[in-house]
Amino acid sequence: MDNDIFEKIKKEAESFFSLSHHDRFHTERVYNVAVRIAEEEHADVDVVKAAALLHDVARALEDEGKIDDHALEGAKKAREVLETVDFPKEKIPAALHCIEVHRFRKGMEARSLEAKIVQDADRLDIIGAIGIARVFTRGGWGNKPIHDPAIPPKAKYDGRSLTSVNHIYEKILNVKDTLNTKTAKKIAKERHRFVEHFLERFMNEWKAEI
Amino acid sequence: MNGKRKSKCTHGDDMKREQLQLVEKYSKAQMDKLGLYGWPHVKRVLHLCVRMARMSREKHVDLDVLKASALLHDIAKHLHKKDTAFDHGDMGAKLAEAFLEECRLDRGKIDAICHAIRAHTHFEEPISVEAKILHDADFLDKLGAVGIATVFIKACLTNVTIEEVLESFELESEKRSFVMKHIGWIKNPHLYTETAQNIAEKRNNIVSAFFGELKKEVELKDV
Repeated sequence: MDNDIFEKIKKEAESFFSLSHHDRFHTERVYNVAVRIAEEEHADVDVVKAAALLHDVARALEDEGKIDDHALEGAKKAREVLETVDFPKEKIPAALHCIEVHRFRKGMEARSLEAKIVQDADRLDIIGAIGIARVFTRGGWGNKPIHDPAIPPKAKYDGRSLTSVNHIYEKILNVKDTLNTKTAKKIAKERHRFVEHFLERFMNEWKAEI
Repeated sequence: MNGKRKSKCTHGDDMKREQLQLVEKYSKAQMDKLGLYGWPHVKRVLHLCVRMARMSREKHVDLDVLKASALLHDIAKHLHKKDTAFDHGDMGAKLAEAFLEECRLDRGKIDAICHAIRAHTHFEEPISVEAKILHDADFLDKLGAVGIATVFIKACLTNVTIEEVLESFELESEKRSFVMKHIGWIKNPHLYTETAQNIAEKRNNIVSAFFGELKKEVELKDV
């Protein structure tokens, strides 16, 4: 499909992002990974591209507490964008499905290969060195403690980890078991291993063990 | 501070456990004014100081001086105002001196503690072994995995993206932003003791591994 249309979608998507550049860069990374996986898994690349570009357009609204679920709201906004840029009508429902079910916490079922790929690409951005960097940039926003040995990690992730380190335990280390595609699982292996390695070093430093 | 007549610390060569507890309590109260990251930093530096003293080949390290100065080194940091010539080491030493005098701590110990506090910000050159260890322990806390966490918290506060941090790490830049300055410390640590240099090497390994991995992921080399 013509690349112009994706440039237009990208431009529209960026108008939704908050002043911080984090959403834009996250989207770009997810897009790049999603396209690779889509090619590898012989999925509909157009659908994956459109969904990846638009998957977080309502994220800022959720962060500001204006909406509850950025996936559902994002799909609504995405429909408007896709209709405006003349994205093929028959592919719109498939792209919206990807956006509706992409969210980690809700654990919604991805019914199509394309939706599975967008979920995977989004989740691969949670782990690895990128994931670690994101934890602390997010933690910084909320002015969250980095680590507190007196606060043990919760057994189940509820979206409100009390420290950045607990966020790693509660969410990041569980991501690899939630992936759908073979390609994503393969990428996740090394990224997961790196998070474990980093965490081990971090804990040693925290305790001044050398 | 309560009751000037009632001595908080007793005379003698060694600080007692209660005396150190008072210093700790005072320090925590000051550090908490700095926000969430102040007190955990002081505790890490304290533990690192003690460990470095044990590892050090120096025969005489005064643990009282080392522990007290580690606890007190950043007590004036919350008073810092932007764009002033304020030095939190110098101011911290003044506050520490007043507090420790009230505790009636040995003059010699007070002076040694204040020297270490002043030296950690280079207000004075570190001369004593305790001052060198404190300076280095404080510096080591900027490095390694904990240093990476700090870099990204700083990046977030100044609206710098992950990609920009990676770029700053790879390029020598003249820009002295909040984040760049920290990356400069990581890349060229300034240390006085051999013990610290060995620890720094180990902490550098995780930093190199981290940025190598980050580059690979961002550039999709692992996909």
